[in-house]
Amino acid sequence: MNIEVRHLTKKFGSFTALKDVSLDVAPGELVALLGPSGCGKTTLLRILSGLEFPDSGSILFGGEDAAAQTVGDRRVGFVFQHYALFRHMTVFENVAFGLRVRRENRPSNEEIRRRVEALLALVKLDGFDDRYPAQLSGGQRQRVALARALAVEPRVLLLDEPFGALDAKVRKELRRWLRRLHDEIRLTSIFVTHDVEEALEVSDRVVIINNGRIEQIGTPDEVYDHPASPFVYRFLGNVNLFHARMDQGRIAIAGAGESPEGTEHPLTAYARPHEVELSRDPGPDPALEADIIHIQTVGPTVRIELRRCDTGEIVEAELTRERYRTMACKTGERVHIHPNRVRIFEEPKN
Amino acid sequence: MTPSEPVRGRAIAAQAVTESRAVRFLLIGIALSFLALFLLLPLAIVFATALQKGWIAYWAAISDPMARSAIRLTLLATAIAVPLNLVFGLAAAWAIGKFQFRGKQLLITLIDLPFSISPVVSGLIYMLVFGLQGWFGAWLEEHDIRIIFAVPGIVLATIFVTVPFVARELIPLMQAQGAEEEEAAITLGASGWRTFWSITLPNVKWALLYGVILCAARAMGEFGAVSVVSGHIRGLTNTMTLHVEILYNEYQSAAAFAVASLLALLALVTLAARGSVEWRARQQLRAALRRSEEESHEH
Repeated sequence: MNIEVRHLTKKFGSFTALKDVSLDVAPGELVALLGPSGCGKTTLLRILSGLEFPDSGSILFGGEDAAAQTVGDRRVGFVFQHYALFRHMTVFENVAFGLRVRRENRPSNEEIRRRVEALLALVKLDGFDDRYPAQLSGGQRQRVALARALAVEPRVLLLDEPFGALDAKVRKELRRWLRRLHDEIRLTSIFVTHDVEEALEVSDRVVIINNGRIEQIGTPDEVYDHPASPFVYRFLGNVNLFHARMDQGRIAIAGAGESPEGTEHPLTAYARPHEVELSRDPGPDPALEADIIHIQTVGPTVRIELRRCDTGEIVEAELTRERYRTMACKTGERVHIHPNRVRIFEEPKN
Repeated sequence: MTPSEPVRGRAIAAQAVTESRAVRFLLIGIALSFLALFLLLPLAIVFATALQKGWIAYWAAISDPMARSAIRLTLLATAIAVPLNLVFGLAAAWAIGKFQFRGKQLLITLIDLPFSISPVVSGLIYMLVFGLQGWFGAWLEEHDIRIIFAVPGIVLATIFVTVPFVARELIPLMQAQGAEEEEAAITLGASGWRTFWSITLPNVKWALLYGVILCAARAMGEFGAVSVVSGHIRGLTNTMTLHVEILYNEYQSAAAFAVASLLALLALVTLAARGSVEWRARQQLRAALRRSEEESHEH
């Protein structure tokens, strides 16, 4: 089912959680709401579920206005950050709850048993029927929460920081598993996360939210390769900033002496650490000089911290181990830096 | 990490902060002798004095029509006050634990008010409101409704002094549990009523029962507030505590202690009930923990 969000605004007292948010989600899509904590992403998810109400704007589920629908009528599956499993019920009863509370066409007991067993098999928890939530690991609880949400045959699945409370390894496993599950059942799903890697790895499209506003919507590649704003650029990864200026139709990175004063459009060039090249000779492009102050090997990459000779600003570069070995640079050495791929944004005017 | 490691770690930590054997014995000894002197000894004296003149006199004292009427009245007041407080306590704790609203802190303070006011003062307040010279006195007199120096006054006073018990037990628990499970139930299509019965109530049942037991104990033992509004009309408005006082003032100490021993027995029964409720709650928790420990062994 498709979801249309139109001009949603929500305030909590004087704090504006969402400002004029509009969003379309196609049927069967897996969308990530990504942003720093307190940016409004969870509020958006809760409004979609019907647990919270917007101050203005509307939500259409499959073309129908959701404002008139109660939480129960919306047929939305919600997976809570801390799972919110019913602690006094077994795994079986947790999953069966949504079916048991139906007022109309409640399935028979055999039907409920059949469906719960099928869901537990789907989330790889067959045989856990009689356990209580306290007896399960975090990953298992998360999967019970998912089975419980799926039991009511929702039209949309909403997940609030689904992997937030898990340790790194389980988290990785579970998100791949969720992606495969989504490919299998093709249920329109929206999940909230503050973890960039998670959003880029799992989702079909990413919605980046900051201060209650949508900064950019796009596929993981689109947002990573073509960030729409400095915020998106910074949020998606480490970044180096260079002041730049227009020089006869070409963009040039400014050295210390040539501050962007006098130019009409002061610019900022952004380059990711892995887009910064290091070399011993200046090369054809004007290259900046910098001293290596720290070298750190992290897994397959080598992080190098440099201080620019002209401005004293810190620049971060990331080399593959191979490149690092062939170059064989050392701490204290003076090298040239070439940002080989930059993205330019206009500097905010003071 | 095996599950026994944190346990061992805890034992070492306990050793590090513990006192020497002599100091421990001294402290425990002081606590125990204090208990014996101020709790067990008086209790023993109550029963000894009650049975001073033999079982026949004991039976006569508690089967006396006036005593029986006092027992009935105490049980009646308790039977009315406890369910009312149960409903009120649940409603208040539900509101405080699950919702955000203005005046929440004020509500918590108000619930505690009966703890901080002397019961005699609260009795006097009822006199001022419902007594003959009080605000509603004339109106009540006209309609021939008796509250003060009658059973309704005693029930009201009992309700007032027991207000905090159920709410106080539930508020911290419900605040700690938050509203997530209820929200989950609602997104799964449960009605508010269904959510309350299948989710909220089972999650607080032991604390609720514990609050009810404390509330019942207090309702039966109340003296000050009831004494002010009762008027001490024998056979009509005398509760057990008041009856004990009257008997004692009339130098019938054996009879007084006989009725007092009944109150003490009720207290002991409540204590036992309380103990078993606590024990069951702990038992349940331990079972859950044990099973999850076995679980982590398997992995």
